Amino acid sequence: MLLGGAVTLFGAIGLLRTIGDGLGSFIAYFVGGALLLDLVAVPLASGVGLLGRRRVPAAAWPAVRAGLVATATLTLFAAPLVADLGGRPDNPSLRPRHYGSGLLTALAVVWLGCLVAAAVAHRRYGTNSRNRPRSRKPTEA
Amino acid sequence: MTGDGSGGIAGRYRSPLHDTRAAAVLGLALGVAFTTCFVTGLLSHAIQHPPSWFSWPARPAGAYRVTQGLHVAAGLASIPLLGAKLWVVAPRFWARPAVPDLAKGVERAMLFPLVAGGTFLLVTGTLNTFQWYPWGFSFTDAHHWAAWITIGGLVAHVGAKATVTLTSLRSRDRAGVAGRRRFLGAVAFGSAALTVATVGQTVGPLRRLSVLAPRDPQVGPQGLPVNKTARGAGIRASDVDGSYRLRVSGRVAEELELTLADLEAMPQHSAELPIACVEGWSASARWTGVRLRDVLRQARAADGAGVEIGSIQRGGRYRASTVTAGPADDPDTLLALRLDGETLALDHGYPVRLIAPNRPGVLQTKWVKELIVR
Repeated sequence: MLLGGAVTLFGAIGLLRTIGDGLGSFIAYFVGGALLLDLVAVPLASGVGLLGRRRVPAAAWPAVRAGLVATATLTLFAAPLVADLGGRPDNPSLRPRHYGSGLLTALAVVWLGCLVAAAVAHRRYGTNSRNRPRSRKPTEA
Repeated sequence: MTGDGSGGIAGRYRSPLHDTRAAAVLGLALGVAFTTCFVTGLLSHAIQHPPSWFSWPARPAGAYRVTQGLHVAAGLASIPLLGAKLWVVAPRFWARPAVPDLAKGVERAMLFPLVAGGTFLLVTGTLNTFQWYPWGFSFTDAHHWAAWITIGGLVAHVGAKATVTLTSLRSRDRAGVAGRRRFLGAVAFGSAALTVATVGQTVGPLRRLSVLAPRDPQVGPQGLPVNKTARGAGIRASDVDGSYRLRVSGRVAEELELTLADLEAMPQHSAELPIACVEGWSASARWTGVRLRDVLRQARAADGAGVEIGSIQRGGRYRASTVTAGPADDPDTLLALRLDGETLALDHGYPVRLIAPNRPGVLQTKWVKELIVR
């Protein structure tokens, strides 16, 4: 704990010595990122998860959830590329691909796999409560 | 359930996945990923800003492309891991009382540099691979110091959670194992999907699969990507015409002023070397030119001296770089005139660029106009 605190302090001091005018912007991004994650992204994910568990057949849910995690990850990453934010038109070797169609291709591959897996699981286990993927509590969110 | 702070928002989280074991496994994965990023990142920093005790060898020629490729790949793979970890421990985020005692208070306080720092590093690092900088600070400085801030938080967190994590990972309790495995499998699937979609920017054979990679190692002038264009560096036509001279000065017995024709008349040597950039992409090519050591010998440079390589580029952090004695003597450290047999394109540094084995892209100085032996 002490060592961790010392290392963090070392980092903070180094930052303050070199950041100059950028401190305000740094703080905004530093604090803002954590707030966005904890107060927006996580609850949103919980909401989607809740909805998914209720609407999707139980045996199919794990595969669908995997598809949703991959979708969120890929879309979050690719959004600035698809929206072409911050590109440099004088350098065509930067971002040389068509990212809109690339993202759609990637998502298509992901969902093809996940829906097949979901269908297989649903067929195999169906709504037979004995074979449903088990969890610790009888009631689950 | 983890059993602290029931009721209120914390009590709303009913999924059994919010348990210690899932947190432990994700924590371990994140620990490995962030440690990898920290070590490879610090290495990259040290190569560019060497402390007096540090020297980076010229061999193996491809080591830096591996370490930096790993740095970016580990960082991107961490994105779903961090999201999942924060979701799993969400009930604790809302637990009341927030500060039951001093030790717990400090422990929770140190989560701030860890979570905020980790998020900051992933966001700034990812946007750097897009070359998008929508902020008011220097990326390199902020990313470097935020890394120290984050690692401090990580060390504190590991210290606080080590016992509980090890107990959990060793436990043979099978309750909920199937559900938890599927959940963790989903998270791993997310990481794998992003990795496959991007890693082809440095792992050449996968480039066709990586539909979301910000670079393609085979796309660019002369089939090689470029970071800084000639226009971006402010290179003018008058800088690179017949009036161009390569000046050699400093600790030399004979100062030189070489024209492009002089350089082309010297013995040429070819080498297959990669350009590897901090954004995690790399691409190999065949470079042909004059050995740096041959030019230094002609100028009768002092033994064991390093060389400062200066560019026509007038501003910016990377308008000059230093080659220490060891790499300066390497037979593959070249003042390159040709790329894959063709005259160097302007965007690749025409008329002369430095290319050396195991050297970060930003230090492979382009539009070289002077060598100062120090």
